Amino acid sequence: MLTIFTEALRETLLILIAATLFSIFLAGPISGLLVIAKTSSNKLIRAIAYSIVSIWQTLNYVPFLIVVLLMYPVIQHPMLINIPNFLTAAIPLSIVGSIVLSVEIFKSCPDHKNELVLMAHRYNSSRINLIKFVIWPKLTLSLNSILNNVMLLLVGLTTIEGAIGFGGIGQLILSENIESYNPALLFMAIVAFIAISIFIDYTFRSFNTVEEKG
Amino acid sequence: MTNSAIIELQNVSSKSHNLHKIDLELHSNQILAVVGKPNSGKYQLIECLTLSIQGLDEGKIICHQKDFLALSLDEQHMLMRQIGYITTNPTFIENKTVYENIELCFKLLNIKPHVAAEKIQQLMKITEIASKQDTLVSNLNLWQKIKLDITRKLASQPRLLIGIDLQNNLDATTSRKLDQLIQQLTNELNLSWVLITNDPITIKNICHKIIMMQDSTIIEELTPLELFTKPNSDVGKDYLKYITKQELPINIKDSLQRNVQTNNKMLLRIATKANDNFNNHLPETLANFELNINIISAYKDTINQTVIYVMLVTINLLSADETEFYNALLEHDIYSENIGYVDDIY
Repeated sequence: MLTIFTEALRETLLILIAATLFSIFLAGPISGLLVIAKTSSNKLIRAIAYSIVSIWQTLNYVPFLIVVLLMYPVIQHPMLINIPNFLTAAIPLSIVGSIVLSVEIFKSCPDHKNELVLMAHRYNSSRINLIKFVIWPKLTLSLNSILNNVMLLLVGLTTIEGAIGFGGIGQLILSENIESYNPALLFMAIVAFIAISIFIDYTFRSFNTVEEKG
Repeated sequence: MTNSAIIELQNVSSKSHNLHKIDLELHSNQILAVVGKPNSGKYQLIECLTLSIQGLDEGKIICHQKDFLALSLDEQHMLMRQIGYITTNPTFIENKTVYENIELCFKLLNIKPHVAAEKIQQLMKITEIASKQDTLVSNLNLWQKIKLDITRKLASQPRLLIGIDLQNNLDATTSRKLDQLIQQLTNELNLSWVLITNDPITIKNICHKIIMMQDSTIIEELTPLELFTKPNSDVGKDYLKYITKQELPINIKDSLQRNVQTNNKMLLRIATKANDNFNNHLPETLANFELNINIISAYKDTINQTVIYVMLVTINLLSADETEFYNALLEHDIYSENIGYVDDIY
């Protein structure tokens, strides 16, 4: 039982790492564009960005469900496309992860009325300088907690994904409990999820300490 | 427009910005105060002065003898750099130090690091914030934040700085320090200032000109001395009443009424530039009108290095004789202002 559990735990961690990396990779350019739009002095561009974010906020799980359904045959018949299971499982998670990450970055970044953004516009500063010297440093204040929240969300979604057959601890719980009722395994799985969540939360919080320089 | 004018608003009207026929000229080394009640158009005027306005229905904004709105975007930005504004709630990057926050402005201006480093040290010395250069902004108090805001705004070598309600959230001592800094920067860096303030001490001590705003337009332009002696507009008179009320003893302030009632006496503020006017002409005028006064307070005030003498008196003056009495005093350079009505016991 321990071997099966360790293997499932390994797979869950791989899914989580891959999903987080893909989310960051996808969210990078998307949130970059959204942030530029949010700080733009053009009303129309800002309105489009706010509409996109608003729609994403409402429907962020819909793309996840669609991709899960699309990937379902691949998971059920691994011979169709020869990629590791954990990568297949990470794709739907990356979709929702990147959306949530982009939305949170958008919400945290200063808008066009922010004094520093206005100052950059007044000084005719380039967009790159605006992002490099104003938006990025401002964002670093909240980026830690954003990534923390996104990773914890992915942990939760891994369970749901696993329950419909995408692997990891989620699948182990479901299949083991359907075939043979196993409360010990269920308990181990819950403890594992809580431990992963606490570890993620603790790691991000420990990076959050701001030390006074003077 | 004279050559020294930094910015001139010529008959500026904008429905979208709620401004109506604004005429204003601001010169080098001038400190201008904008006084007005809430929603009088002060902040819309500031928007205009910071050149943040998009379009006008009427009029022109002349900046360095050029029609600002007719310029190319690049030229507009060059002029916009020369105007900065300071608020009591400035935005900084809180997890960065004082030095890094000033440096940020130089980076946005694309100024080379070695040039910036030297300039930052100079500016920090002027505003006396050098000792805090390694402190995180989140650990600064409001006064230090205002000093930091002023320092970083100096990075673009502005000709005009606009202070928005700066004195409102500072205690009296710090407000005076701020006044000194404003005056110092005006003299040392040839800066001009527009201050939105209702602080009478700031107006008395450092301002050269005051504009009174009402209903989105400038209704009066006067010197501090004129404001504290003979304001013409209702806003000016109301302001004088307001600051006089602050000086009154609490029991009189509590009994002060706007309109005359039975057994009430008029509370009159009389001011003059020469004390002899009080000694020689006031008793004579009172005798002519067969009036008596009770002096509540008398003091000497300094407005922009000019001394004025002020008396707060209660007087049994009938409305019918009011204008005649005021004119009689005015003949002897004694300016009077009806502050309100108080109980007869005073």
